[in-house]
Amino acid sequence: MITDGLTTVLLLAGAFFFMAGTAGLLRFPDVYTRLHALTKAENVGLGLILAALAVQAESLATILRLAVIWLLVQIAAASVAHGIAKSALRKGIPPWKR
Amino acid sequence: MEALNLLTWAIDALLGLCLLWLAWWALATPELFRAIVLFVVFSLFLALVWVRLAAPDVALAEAAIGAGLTGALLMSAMARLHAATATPPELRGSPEPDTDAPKAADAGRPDSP
Amino acid sequence: MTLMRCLLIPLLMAIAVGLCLTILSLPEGEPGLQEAVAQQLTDSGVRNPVTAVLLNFRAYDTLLELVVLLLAVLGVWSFGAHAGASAPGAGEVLDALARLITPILILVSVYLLWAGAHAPGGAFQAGAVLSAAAVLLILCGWQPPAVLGRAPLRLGLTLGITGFLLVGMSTLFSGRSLLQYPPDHAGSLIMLIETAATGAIALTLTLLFIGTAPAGRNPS
Repeated sequence: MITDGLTTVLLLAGAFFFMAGTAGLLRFPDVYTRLHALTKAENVGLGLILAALAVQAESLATILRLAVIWLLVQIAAASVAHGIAKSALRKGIPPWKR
Repeated sequence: MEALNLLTWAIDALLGLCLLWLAWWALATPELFRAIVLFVVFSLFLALVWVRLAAPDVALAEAAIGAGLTGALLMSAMARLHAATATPPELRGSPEPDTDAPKAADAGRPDSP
Repeated sequence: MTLMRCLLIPLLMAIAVGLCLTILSLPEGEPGLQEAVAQQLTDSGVRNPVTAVLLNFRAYDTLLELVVLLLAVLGVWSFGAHAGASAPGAGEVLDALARLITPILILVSVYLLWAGAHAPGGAFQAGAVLSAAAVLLILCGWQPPAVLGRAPLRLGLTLGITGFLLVGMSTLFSGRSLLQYPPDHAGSLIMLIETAATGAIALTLTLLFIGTAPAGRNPS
């Protein structure tokens, strides 16, 4: 009962962060700010969803696997965001100024 | 639980419609880079569909090959295409707008010079 | 152009509607071949029905699939030499990522190969993950060592098919037909075939990405 409630709360929080990240992707003015919104919000969202799954997990091995998945996605997302930003900078896309 | 059955059915219908829409968009878009990105996203959705069809082996293979290897392959092909068909500077007339230049390009890999 | 489009779109819609009607009119709840596979599963040497079907009951199809992969590489090589994959200067982040991720990918690939016997996995998935690791390394500017020149490369490409054929033909000597594994050793034979196939598939997919054939004997 408590675990189901906790799972629901964590899932909803994760979904909220994902929605915030997607709203940032759609509404922010240029590449760099969009990357910022995507990586920060969606990594936290993924962490919350994996935490919700970890609450429902049966064994410690599953929880460790979920933690490793989160770590790998963090590393990959950070590297990809860096790569995109560096490539955009080299193409001369100017950062948005007010 | 009728609500869960309805929810599952709704998710399946959404996945199917997204597949069709992505496929149409990937084929109809004029920019090459966007088409490749849409193809990779299509492979990702297809992997989800395989999971829903209770075929996890195919989903693993689709995610690894479709979303990973084929994406890299198509990007590499596009880079070579641009390098091969770029007009040399002395033959260029007025600067033409570069319609299918990638705006935010692939991760960390510079275009071939 | 617009005339063809006026003819094409109704044709495609007709095909799509016909496909939907055919699928929706299929009889409900047919068990298919699940019971037949489940009955023979203990004799097949593995516990995953997909691997049993792929590598035991329909092993001949998998052998020919490996041949198709080899033909794909030959087709790509037949385009002749061109400027190979330009080795770009990799940034530090991509470099660090490759150094970190490659051992993990190799581990995941070996795990998928081993887990194919009892869980979703198998040779194709393991080979695909291994080739993803190789592609990542190539994007960072790694060149395969030149000692893996032409002959070891071609040997590795045909390793899957040769291994498969050798195992299949060895059953001929014990009085069975081609690719009919003895039920006692079926598990180990399947693992042997899958290991050879994983290496071959990884090499094939990586070569499909590289695209250029290695430098030939007679320069063109």
